[in-house]
Amino acid sequence: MDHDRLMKDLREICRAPEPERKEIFFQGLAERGVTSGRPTSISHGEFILRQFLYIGKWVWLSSAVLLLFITWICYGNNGNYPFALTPLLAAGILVETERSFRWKMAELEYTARFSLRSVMLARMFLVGAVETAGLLVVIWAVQPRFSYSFGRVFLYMMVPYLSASLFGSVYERKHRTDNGWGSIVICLLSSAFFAAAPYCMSSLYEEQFAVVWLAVFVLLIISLGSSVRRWFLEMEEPAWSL
Amino acid sequence: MNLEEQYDRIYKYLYFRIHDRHTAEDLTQETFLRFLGSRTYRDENRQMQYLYTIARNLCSQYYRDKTIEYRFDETLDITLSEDFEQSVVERISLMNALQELSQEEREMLFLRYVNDVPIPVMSRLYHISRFAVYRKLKKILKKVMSEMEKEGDHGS
Repeated sequence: MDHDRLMKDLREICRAPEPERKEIFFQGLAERGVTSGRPTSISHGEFILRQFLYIGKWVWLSSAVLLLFITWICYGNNGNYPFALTPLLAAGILVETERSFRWKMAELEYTARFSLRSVMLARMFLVGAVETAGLLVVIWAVQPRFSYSFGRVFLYMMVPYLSASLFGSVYERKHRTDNGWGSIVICLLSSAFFAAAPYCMSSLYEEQFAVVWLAVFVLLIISLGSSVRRWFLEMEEPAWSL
Repeated sequence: MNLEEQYDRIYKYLYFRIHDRHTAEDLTQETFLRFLGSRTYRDENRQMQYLYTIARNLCSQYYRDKTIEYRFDETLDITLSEDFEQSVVERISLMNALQELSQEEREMLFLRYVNDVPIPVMSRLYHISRFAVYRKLKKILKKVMSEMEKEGDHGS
């Protein structure tokens, strides 16, 4: 049997009786003023804001608690230790992202309207933006407690946070079904590393190394962007079940 | 997107899944009411995908509520009587071949070749790449052909 014949037979087999109430239905819609058939569109900003509701409350709560804890530690004159706490902030975004992948089915209808990539990117952007904004407020509030400039405090806070985000995102990309524990461990290890680093290299926070911190910061931003891009390109992979 | 044209296609899809004219039409109307009632919508290129997703979810809900199982062969007698000419044997063998497919495979075949759903829409509907949709369809057609040939061999 050739292809065209097969398709013809398939259409015949799957033929359905004519719908009976179509005209009445569309008349009813017209009477109610629903005739355009074009649901209201929303802006990108509104779309991103709507994602607030879908992000776990514990993410916002844990981030807020951690930011307050960092502020409190900074006010306690604890040297450079507060900088080592920022990687823990990244755990929220990583575990939330992992959770969304794990429960992809629950979001079926929502993602059908916006595509999974848009939803995931919006959530990553939201959590990342709110956490970064929170960190900036903390940096602004605690900077006078340090002998460093605002820029340096910013770098010392952001580099550990971005490094945990980068390594966590690489890990999550490769292991998507471990309930997020891998990311938490990565954040803890990253935190431990930055807490121990000054003991191995006492000049780490000296002014001469500020350029190195800046270079690492830029490198981390580029790497994180590249990692997220690869993540999104590979997003269809788990469904590849031929 | 022409809503009236889509109404026919969604109805056809639901009839294919449910095999009951009235229920299929009820669910078609419910699909459109939900679709039109949705006040938040961003990407207009995805309207068709959204329609099929709602229809598919309603269909799953219908089967869940009724606690009955999907049976493809319920349609066979009805459709057979429509055109009883020379290709009856081939159609019977095609229907038997379709019964050998999984529900998802039958659905993919229906969406692509009966309802003419574009590949990009199917790709988003099944959360797989376009290339994967092509390969799956090719594999399903090959399976159907081979089942039909097997049937033909047995018949002769």
